[in-house]
Amino acid sequence: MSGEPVYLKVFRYDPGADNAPRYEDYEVPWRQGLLLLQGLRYVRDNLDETLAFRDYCCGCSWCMSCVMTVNGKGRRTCSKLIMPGEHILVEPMRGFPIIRDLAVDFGVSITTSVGTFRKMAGTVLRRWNDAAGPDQGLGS
Amino acid sequence: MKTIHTDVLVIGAGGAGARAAIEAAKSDGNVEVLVLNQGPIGKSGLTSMANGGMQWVSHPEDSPQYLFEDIIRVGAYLNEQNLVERLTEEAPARAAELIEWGAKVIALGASGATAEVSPSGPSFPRAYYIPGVSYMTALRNRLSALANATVLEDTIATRLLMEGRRVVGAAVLDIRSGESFVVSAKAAVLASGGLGEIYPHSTNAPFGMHGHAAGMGYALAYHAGAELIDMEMVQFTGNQLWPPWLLGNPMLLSSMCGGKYVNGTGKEFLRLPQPRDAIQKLAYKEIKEGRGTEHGGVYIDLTRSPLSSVEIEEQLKESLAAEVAKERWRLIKEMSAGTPDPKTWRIEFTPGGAHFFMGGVRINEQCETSLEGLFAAGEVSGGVHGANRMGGCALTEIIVFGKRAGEHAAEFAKNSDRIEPTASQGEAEEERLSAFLGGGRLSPRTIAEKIASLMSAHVGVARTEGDLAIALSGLKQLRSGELPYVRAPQGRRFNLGWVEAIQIPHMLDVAEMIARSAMLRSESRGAHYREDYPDTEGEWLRHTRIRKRDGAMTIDTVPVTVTTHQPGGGK
Repeated sequence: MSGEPVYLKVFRYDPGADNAPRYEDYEVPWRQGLLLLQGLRYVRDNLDETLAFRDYCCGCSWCMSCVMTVNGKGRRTCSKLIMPGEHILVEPMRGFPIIRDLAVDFGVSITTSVGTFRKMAGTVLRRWNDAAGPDQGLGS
Repeated sequence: MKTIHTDVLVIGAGGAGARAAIEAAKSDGNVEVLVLNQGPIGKSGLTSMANGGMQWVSHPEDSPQYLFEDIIRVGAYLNEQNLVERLTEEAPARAAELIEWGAKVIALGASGATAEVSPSGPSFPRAYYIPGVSYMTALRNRLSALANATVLEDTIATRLLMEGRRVVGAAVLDIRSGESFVVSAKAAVLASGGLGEIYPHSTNAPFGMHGHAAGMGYALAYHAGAELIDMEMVQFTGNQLWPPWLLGNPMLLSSMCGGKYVNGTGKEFLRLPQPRDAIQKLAYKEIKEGRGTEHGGVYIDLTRSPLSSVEIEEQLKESLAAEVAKERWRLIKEMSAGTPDPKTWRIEFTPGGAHFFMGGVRINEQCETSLEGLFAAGEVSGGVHGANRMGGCALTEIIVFGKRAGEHAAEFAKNSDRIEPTASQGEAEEERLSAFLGGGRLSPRTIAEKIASLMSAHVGVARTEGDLAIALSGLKQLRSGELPYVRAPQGRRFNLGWVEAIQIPHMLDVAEMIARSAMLRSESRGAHYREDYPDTEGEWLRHTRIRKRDGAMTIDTVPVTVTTHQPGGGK
């Protein structure tokens, strides 16, 4: 079950307190079936309790509130399977204002339906991924 | 401190809250509605995770009376029969409305989700399937079309504000900014969902995603002075041990994919149809008596399914991945790459994954609680499902009673004068919340895990007086020895660790309510299984009732509302 750990480099920024963003490195123990969102939860529970990201999400690949920029590409972190020894750069989803660290304001008000949100976030994902290279991120 | 004025405050925007808000906002009389939700609406909370099974009557030879009888039989006659009547009568209209608003109905495969209906009673095909995703999209779109409803996402109500026994508003934390504010309201609808988080394994926390269901609503109601009933009634389902993919409700692999329930010795130990509580007890017994599997559970064995590999895969896609998307299916394939043929899978699970909570805030048909101006609907309320919920009845419950709560809360607001919360109420709450950011030494997660392991070890599927006493004394110890030292992470903005710290005292309250109610009910009924009192007793056809009186938790019993169906008493 165990293997080489996973190395996360994570974007940190509290606009209310910090002058500038920075990156922090975390080592997360690998286990079979580890997903990136679980890895971030591990960091918050065990290594740095101040790390902020959205985790009131569906956990099952549809809601997209866990999207972040992973190795330069937009991805749902709940569907990103991690391999032992993998180095991963985790940044907030680009195109949205940062609330803190990896949590962004999707700007979704009640006037925006879930469907519209998914299209909107999907467009940002595609735009970003196209700029970054072939789309390997968004599976659907 | 900022105060926002509204007519009807809705706490929680899952299915029940969203439906309540729609009803309140569309009622004539220009009722202003303010909705709070802990995360983004439709993209957080439990309704959006629902697999989609729904029961309502549509077959020409079926009738609400038959569904009523199925529900109260499965509920071991502890249901409030007047509430079940409203559920069964109004479900078809509410479902039709939801479909009209855009919810997609998906046809189930031949094996369908009807397995829990006892073969001894009248049973008709009535299991529909509207994935939670689609369900919430429809409600959200409808809500967004109503100009007098405002939704505040990333907010959490931390206390109901009272004037005597009248609800006058709530203290609220804006998670994004970390600032607290006061809502002044004429009426409030509590629709805050369940409490799966107080158990270590729960379908309410998929992939370890916590925060959806810490049981805040039960505690808000309790501290305001409301009555809560049947708090011992926790519905458990399987907790998947192995393999690590297909996380979700492993029972679906049996009901939909033809998997057999097999113990560690290779023997099939139960056959469907069985109610959920019976499956839990039988699996518990196999493991306890030493016939468990390698990882300490029992199997759902797909190698013995009558379906072919292709058929199983089709069913899996439908049950686990339909609306949930190709992305999830891709992930399952990726994770199971070493053994891609589902016909080779033997899924190991243990009983005791918290799934649903039958007990809760006591309501009447108008969703009124025992407090003036406070209404409740959905999982946070009690009485509809009795001692055990029949599969597919939660998604119908939340729209039926959500609508009722919204309608009656709006009516109450129209006919009531506003009582302003006092400034000191909001300030006292702000002070209480800020104290968690101070000097303690214990992380909230550590204590949350201790609560959960106490509940799992001593207030789980099988209960005894001795175990319950251990749980109660453990909770007392956590309350006096650890709670005062809870410290949230620093920084007010988007600090979910702070939210978790705020939830801890409420989790302790709710855990104690469950353990005390389980202790009082000296019988076994539905989901409540007392190993020391294995029989169902006629004299126990009563609700346990929890109230806060003179600052202390008190417990007694009240009669069950019986309309037409006199229960047969003990077995």
